Amino acid sequence: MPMGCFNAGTRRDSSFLRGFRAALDTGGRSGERAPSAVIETEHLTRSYGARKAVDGLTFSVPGKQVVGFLGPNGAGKSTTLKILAGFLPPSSGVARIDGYDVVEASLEARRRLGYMPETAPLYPELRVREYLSFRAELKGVTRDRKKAVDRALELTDITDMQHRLIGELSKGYRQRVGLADAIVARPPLLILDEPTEGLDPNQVLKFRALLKDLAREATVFLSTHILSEVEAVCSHVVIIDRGRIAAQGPLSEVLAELQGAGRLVKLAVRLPEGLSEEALRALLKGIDGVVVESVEREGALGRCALRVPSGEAEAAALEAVVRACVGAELGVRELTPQARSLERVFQALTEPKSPSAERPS
Amino acid sequence: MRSTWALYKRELLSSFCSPMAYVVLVSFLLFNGMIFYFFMKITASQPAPTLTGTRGPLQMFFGSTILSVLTPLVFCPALTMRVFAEERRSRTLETLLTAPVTEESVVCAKFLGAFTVYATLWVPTLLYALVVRRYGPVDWTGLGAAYAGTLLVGGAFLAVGVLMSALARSQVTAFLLSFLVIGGAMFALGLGSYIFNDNEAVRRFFSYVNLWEHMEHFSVGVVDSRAVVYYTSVIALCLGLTTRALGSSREAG
Repeated sequence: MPMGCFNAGTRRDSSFLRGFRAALDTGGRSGERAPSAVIETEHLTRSYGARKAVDGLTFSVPGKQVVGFLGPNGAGKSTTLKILAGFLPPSSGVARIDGYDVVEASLEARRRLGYMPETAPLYPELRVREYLSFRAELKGVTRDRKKAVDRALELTDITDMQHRLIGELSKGYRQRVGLADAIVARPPLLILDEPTEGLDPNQVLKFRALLKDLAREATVFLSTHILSEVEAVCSHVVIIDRGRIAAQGPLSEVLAELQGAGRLVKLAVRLPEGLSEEALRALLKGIDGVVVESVEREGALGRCALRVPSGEAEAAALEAVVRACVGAELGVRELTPQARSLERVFQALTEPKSPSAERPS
Repeated sequence: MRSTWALYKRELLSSFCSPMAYVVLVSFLLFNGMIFYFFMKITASQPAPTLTGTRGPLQMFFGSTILSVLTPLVFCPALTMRVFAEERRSRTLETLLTAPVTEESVVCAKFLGAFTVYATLWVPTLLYALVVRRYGPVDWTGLGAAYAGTLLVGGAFLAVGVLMSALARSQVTAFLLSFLVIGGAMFALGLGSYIFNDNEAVRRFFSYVNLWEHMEHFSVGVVDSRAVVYYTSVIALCLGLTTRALGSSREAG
């Protein structure tokens, strides 16, 4: 049963990609820069020897929002971020931060960003405050450096730790020191490489709230492979796979585009011996707007995968499903809208497409 | 300039916060103290003790033996092995180079930091002059020249060390490379002036790069501008190359 949904996703995906690439091509040709784009890349490529870690990425990131940069492990996320942060030069292609080329005007580009690499490397022999003060000075915070450090400490909730040695801190705290470093000079762009890695659930929630706060005055570009994070904080996504763009755009659009019109719902009802799966299928088929993707018997239960219209019609359709089942004296045991839609999007986009592969959705 | 200052302060903070600096300082003083004691004993046991003047223990300490160059040869690589190799290992090079700083200011700050630590190592040796002063007058200008020479030679060694640290993957490699390059290229080169002494032009070339000869002159108060030019050129060349190496280390990831 899950296979059906997966295949449906795959079909939509390919058509979406075609449309997407067409849109890309026109964007590349015009060569015009939208003034609102904070990050812009054109055919960005980076090879390590013969292997292309990043292969012709063209994307743009609009300002003042949280943008998710998604991809499976080894997709080239970190490499791309290193290029954007001015650490790695691209093998070919162009990347611009706020209109400044990261190679040609590297210093200007770097002045406009706060970068937190994966695992937040720090100097263990320094104290938190010493480190942040050093970083602020390095980034040209001359006036009110103390205030800037105080603000960064406060926002990342590590004021209590300011006199501790960095080497003594736990991973979560170090991560926050890394973030405090990224925001200390109030750059218009934050580039964060897997920032919530190693944080406990409470910290993750705080962290997300902080990101949303920060997005009021800066653009946050964060890489992650945690999809719930993207759904929780990002309004825009760029998805890459094996060094290539798989999708980009506002989160809702990417989701809608890939998900199609419907939303997947799992239904489990009590199915007495006397009633066949076909009868159940026929019952559900009669409901307005509901598409039955699969029906299977599992002992005394009938498990179905339904597709209901998304948006306002969704609630009505779900109610109708429950009413129909209860009316036919079939007790509803489970009704689960598949909320983790981005996960499916992600799979559909990034996994090798072999028709025999069966994956739980 | 401002970022160089910030980086320089960070270098000093990290150097003096780590136990390594104190291990180096203690072994340095132990080593030099023994040498100085040895020279004091030699001069004092001579029939006509010459504790001051051009053959005194201070001059011997800074000039006339191989030991005066041997100390920087061992200690300079130890001071610089950390500077880039450690940043690369702990990946802080990434945060460092993505801050709005130029490679030049990073290299300058690293060099100046190591140089300051090196100079600090020599400060306690001023006590030796006070010891000598109990037995007679000290030639303070001569001593000044000797310190200037020591700092120049050390500076050149440190610059080589900084370059090797930028090239090497680990601290140990950085130490060995600097030791080999300084020992092989700078230390051994001076031997030429003793080996090829039948050809005047060749001898003069090797004498130009002969560390011991330089130190012998410095120790008696002669500041030879050729030596000053030689060491400052080595420093400039090495730091220039380090800047390039840092740029290409970005390429290597």
